Amino acid sequence: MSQDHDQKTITVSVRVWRQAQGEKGGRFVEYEVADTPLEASFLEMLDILNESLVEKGEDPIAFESDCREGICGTCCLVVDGLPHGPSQCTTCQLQMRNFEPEAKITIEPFSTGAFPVIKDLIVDRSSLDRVIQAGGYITVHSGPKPEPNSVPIEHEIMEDALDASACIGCGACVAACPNGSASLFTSAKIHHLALLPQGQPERNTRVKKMVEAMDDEGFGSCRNYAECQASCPKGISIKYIGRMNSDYIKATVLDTDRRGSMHAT
Amino acid sequence: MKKISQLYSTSVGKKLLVAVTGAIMYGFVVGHMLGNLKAFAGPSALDQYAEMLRQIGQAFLGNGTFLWIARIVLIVAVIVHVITVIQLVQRNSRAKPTRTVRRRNASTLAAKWMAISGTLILIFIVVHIAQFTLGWFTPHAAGTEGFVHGAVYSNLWGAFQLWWVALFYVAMMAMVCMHVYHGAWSMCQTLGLDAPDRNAAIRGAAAAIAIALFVGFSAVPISMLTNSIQSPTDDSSMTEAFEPDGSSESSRSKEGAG
Ligand code: HEM
Ligand code: FES
Repeated sequence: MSQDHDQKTITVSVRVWRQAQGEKGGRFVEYEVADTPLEASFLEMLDILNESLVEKGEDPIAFESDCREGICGTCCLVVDGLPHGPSQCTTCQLQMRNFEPEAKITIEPFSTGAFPVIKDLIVDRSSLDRVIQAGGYITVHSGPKPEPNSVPIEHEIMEDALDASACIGCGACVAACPNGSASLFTSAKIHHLALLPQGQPERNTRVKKMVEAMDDEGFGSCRNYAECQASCPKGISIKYIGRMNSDYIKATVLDTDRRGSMHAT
Repeated sequence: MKKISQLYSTSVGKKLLVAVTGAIMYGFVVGHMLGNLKAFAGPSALDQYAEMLRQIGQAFLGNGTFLWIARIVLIVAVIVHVITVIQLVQRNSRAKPTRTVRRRNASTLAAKWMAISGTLILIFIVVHIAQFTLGWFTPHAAGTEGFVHGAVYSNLWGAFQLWWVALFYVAMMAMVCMHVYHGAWSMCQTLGLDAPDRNAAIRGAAAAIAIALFVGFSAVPISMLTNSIQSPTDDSSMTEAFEPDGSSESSRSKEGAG
């Protein structure tokens, strides 16, 4: 095969974490991926590699992806030690032209204490879903819906809530955190609701339940390193973590339900 | 009490207790540094200041009672701070990434060193109390007075004439400086007081106070080591200043309080 290095294709070697389903440990396996078109995305490079593995009758590398346009948060690879790789975008938005010819690329799963590996590069991130289930909802009545514009929201606050709602739940914040904390994720999921009028009814119970769920799932505690913010493909700010902390303190210390329970004696 | 146990049951609540106990110690450390600067006003000024601390609230509580209340608050703060931190670190070591994830270097060296600087501070606190408060461990240079309870200035002088004692103190103050540089900002974030429009100011104030603490604390050992401050024997009023009981005249305490 002739190698065309005139900026059309690139040959790289990848060290990929292979772990059989149901097994505890795994190992790195090295593959060469020759003549990948430069316009290929990183995941397309893996597709090319998988095709050749299937042709050889080998087990293809298991990895996740869905939209491949940076909006669903399904793709999640640690590339050269960085969650989602060297650029600040999702793994699917990473391009082969970002790499040098002959590069040796290490690919690992997003595995942490709360993200166990299922197979190869796929981890189980359902712990994040359970954090949302604990309180990431609002009360709506089942009758006719009010006219949306009848609830005025200040522009700045709406933008702030939208910034929080940009979280696609990929889990890069957890994978990047030396403490395996899901604080950035949880605080974003709390605040895209807590900042808006619709999110007020459950504001106190939401923050308590979601913080408790975060602990129950085995995520670590935030030590304010800000590595999560640096790795977030959506640029979510750690200011939401500070707000989660103050909301949590208010909900716990200034507990609003002062009525307590009654005994029927 | 119920609320404290409720807080203690979650990681965010635990972190709040770390921040509050950190804030108590932070307040103490700043006050202690400013108090130490009395050394530059001369041996008797420092000894009187120390005596004054024992006399705060004397009218209501008796001599030394206030000091003991402050000590108990601080001891409880240290214990809660350290135990809570150990529990959080244990949680984090179970949760952390299982493979070799690199950092994007968002975290400062001070942040990464919190556990190291904290452990060294803990060791320092024990040595420091054993040395100058209890007098159990009192290295002093040949030719200086030995340890005498209440003779604060001369006790410091004897110890800091030894280069290794001075070096140990300066090095540990560098650890305090690092710990509170990250700690002061981290505390604001943990308490939810930080926000993008104040972040630069809080970071800046944390750095300024950390540097002021380092310079202020190091000034006494360094100037005693280099003899660039009065020696205790130069001061004629010194012997009077640490008389065990004769120092409670009103003129004395007024002077000390000012
Ligand atoms: C002079 C005494 C001390 C002061 C003024 C102090 C101050 C602080 C402050 C303000 C914080 C920030 C709290 C937060 O992030 O919410 C903190 C955190 C911390 N302190 Fe201390 N501390 C002191 C002693 C100690 C000691 C003796 C240890 C011993 C192990 C220690 C270990 C830690 C650790 C590991 C953290 C957590 C840092 C993190 O979350 O990244 N500290 N301290
Ligand atoms: S596959 Fe949807 S964000 Fe990457």
